[in-house]
Amino acid sequence: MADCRARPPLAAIFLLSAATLAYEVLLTRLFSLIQWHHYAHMIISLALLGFGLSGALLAAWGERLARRLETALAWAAAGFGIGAVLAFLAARAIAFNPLELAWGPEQAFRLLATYGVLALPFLCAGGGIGLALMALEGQRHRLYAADLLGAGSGALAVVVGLQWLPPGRALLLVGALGLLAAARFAPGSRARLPLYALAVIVALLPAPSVAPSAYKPLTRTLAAEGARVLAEVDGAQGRATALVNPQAPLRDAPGLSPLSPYHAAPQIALFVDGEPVGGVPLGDRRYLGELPSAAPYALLEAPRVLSFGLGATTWQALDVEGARVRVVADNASLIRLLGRLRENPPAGGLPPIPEVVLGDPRAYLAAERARHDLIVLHVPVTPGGLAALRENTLLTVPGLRALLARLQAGGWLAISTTAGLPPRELLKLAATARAALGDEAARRVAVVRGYRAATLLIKAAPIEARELAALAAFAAPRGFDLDYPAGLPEGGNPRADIAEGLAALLAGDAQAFLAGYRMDLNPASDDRPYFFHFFRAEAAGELYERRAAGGLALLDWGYLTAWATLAQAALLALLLLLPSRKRGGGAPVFAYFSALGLGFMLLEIAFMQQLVLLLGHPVYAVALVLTAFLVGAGLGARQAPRFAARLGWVVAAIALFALLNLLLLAWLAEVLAPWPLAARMAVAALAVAPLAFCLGMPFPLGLAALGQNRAAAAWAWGVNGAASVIAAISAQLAAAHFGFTAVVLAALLLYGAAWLGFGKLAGVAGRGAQA
Amino acid sequence: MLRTGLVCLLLSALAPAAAADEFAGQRAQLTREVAEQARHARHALPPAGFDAAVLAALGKVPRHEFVPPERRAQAYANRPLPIGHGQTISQPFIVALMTQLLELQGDENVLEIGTGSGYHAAFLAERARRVHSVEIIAPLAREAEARLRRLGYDRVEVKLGDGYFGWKERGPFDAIVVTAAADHVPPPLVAQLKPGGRMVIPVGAPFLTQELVLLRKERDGRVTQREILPVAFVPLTGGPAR
Repeated sequence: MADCRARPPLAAIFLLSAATLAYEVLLTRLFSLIQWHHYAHMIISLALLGFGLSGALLAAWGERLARRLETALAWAAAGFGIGAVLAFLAARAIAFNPLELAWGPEQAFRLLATYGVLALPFLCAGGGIGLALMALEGQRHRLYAADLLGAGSGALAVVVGLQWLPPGRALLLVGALGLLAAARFAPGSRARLPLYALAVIVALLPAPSVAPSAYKPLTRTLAAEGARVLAEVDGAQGRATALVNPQAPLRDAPGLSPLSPYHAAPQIALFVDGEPVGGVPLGDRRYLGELPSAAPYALLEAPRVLSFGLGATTWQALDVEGARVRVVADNASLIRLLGRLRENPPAGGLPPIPEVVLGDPRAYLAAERARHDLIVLHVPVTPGGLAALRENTLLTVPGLRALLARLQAGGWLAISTTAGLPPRELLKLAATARAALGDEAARRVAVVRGYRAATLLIKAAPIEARELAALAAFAAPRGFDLDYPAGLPEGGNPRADIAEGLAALLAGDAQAFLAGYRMDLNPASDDRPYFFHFFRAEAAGELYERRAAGGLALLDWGYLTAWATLAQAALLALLLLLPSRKRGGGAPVFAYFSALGLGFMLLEIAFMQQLVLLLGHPVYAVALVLTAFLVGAGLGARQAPRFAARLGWVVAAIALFALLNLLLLAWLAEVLAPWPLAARMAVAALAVAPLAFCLGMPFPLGLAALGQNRAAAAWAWGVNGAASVIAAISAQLAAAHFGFTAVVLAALLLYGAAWLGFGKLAGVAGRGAQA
Repeated sequence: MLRTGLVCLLLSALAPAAAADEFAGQRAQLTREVAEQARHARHALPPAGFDAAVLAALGKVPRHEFVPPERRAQAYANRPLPIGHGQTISQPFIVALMTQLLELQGDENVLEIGTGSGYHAAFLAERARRVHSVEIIAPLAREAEARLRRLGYDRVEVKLGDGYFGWKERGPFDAIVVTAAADHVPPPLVAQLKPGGRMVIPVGAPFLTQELVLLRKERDGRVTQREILPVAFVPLTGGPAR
């Protein structure tokens, strides 16, 4: 113990924290590939309660471990290093299948088992860091600083590293990093050398394969005879896969007219994390003119087109004679995949594959000043509400205005989507158009619909009669319906529900319609950018009753899963922490450190979202925010002792910087859009740095206030960890309902509450075990 | 002694029949359950619910023969079940509904796309003159064909191939049922449907939920369609979607 007191293991804590946060981010990536991303978040969130459990265990048994501190720390880090790899392999072997959850209890047990095995590495890591914080009272601020700096570095390293490293290899490197930390902790070279050797061995092991589950679309598509992978690219935004099947070609043609004289051409199917995202058509592409999304080409000749995404609407635009097309997509893995296909085309050749600009659509619109005759995009299907809590800044009222601002006079915006039962995406787009255009929407919108696919057209000016006639002439021979404006001839599938909805939303009492509809069709905003959030509690019960007749398919599973995760996390956290509350200092410790855990994560997540618009890319935003927050907080923690008597000033500074960021970031996104990315990242880092610096102080100040009460320090660590998990889950739910501004304000209230409770920690300091 | 022997003889005579019919009670229960659920699709069914002939088929076709042995205990649950190769046998309610929507009278030439285990093909064979079924996954096609022969469903013909193009040589068809999802109605299938014919097909994103659609080809060649209810089918593996 003398060694650690003389020379606190800062480097080892740094390495262990880096490995832990890298593991957390990597697990999210791995399980998004194997499962579906919202289940990945659920699983990882619950596993992180291992941190909470570590605090509870340390509060009870930490003193015994502290007697052989270096050995215990080495074991904890080694447990993480080995456990990180083994836990993933075990979780993969358990093979939880979310698709069967609704049909029986077996999958619930598999899910619980998955939580359990994945919690173990976090238990070890949390135990190691928590033990150091607990046992080394005088060095807590330095240790916490090393923890945060390590976490920030780990987050950045994994996001950058995944651009080049396959995820299986990254997993082994994370395990090796944990073992390196163990070696740094270990007392004496006799203990260190084997750990160093083990770290090297783990790093060089054959990388475990990471394949999507048997029920993921890619796997099932590969099951067809003749299917083969043409190319595959791993990146921070997912694994992009290109697949062909010469024997049973893949065909993506949403809404293709059944009367079409051309069948859908064979395609190279594109997948990201095992989910289909479109296809590259091969051969005869005349079928593209038989989709509802081809309607705008009945109105324009040789248009200048801006196309977002790599779906059928892009290939359609590229196939139009004389069209000049600019393509923008926001998935770097997919763009690199197209580059690979261009370099190594399959036998039979490829259509001309365009150069694709990488960027977030809103950021692109802000930076790019050119105007277009036609802008096309596709709103993806979100069956089962899986994208309910996925932010989308383009499908908002400001986003729609930004799109329309890039049209030439007389230009068109064409948004293609599904027209399912009951209709939701199409009607929500109409509601968004009404909110963006006001009463003008009635004269500027038309809707063409085929079989379960529709295109909503918005003109830069009122639609003329000859243009409506052209649309009718396009629709009739294809059996398509013109749902709006009203009064046009019926096609093959008249839908009164859609026609009436569009009429109400575009030209009638939109508010009354929105209030009475069974799903939430209120337009999204920049503060609540959740276009795919349709859930209404009133309808959920009815759908569950009809589950045997397909009702379950209409439930928003992404949204419900988030609530289920929150409920599980809260319950588990209480069960893990409450038994040791007396030793841990009880209510004062719980109140202070849970407020900090909640507040920090709420601010981190809210500003992550705010920075997407400024930086133009969600991956950059995540990487920057994580790194800037954690590194900044680490530097702040290092300086915390200087502010021991001034927590109130610290909290006031947090409030000031948070509110400034809230006010300025949206404006900066608009003004700085044309700047180079590096400059925007520098501005973003400078914007969050002061806030992050201040956020690093309250936690070590609280630990210092606990003085010699080591059990309380351990319990505080666990409480803070559990609260962070709960905040991470609840931030998106809160934002979906109340907006990100409300999330920031809630976080500031929590910091205020923590400041008010700070004084009670002194009473806890006098109680508990001594060193 | 003689009496005991006669009782044993009687029991042993009954035993094979009892073994063969051990699932009869479960089939009857399933039939009642599906009949009860007709209310969930009342907009698509006759006022009295499912036709007696459809319910009779449900009570007759041995679903336990079409599921993997380890799933037999669940064979008569009203739910889909995995059958390997990432595929599933459809929920009995959906099988009954799709068959009901075709309004088969007994003399139809029917095309099925997506044989799977062969259960739906067997079901259709109880109602139609001839069933032609296409399956894209070779092991499933082989196993289904052998199973249907073993069970005596000689009116079913199975082909390994891409169901997107139907089976032109055996057409045109009075009815087409597609038990795999696609994001559009394949034009070749519409072309192989007789005027006056009906098609039931799940349309939508192939890997999660779709709409079950009833498509009718009018005498003049026009096509009309009606959505029935949301479903979740495996994909018509010729096509990804978003």
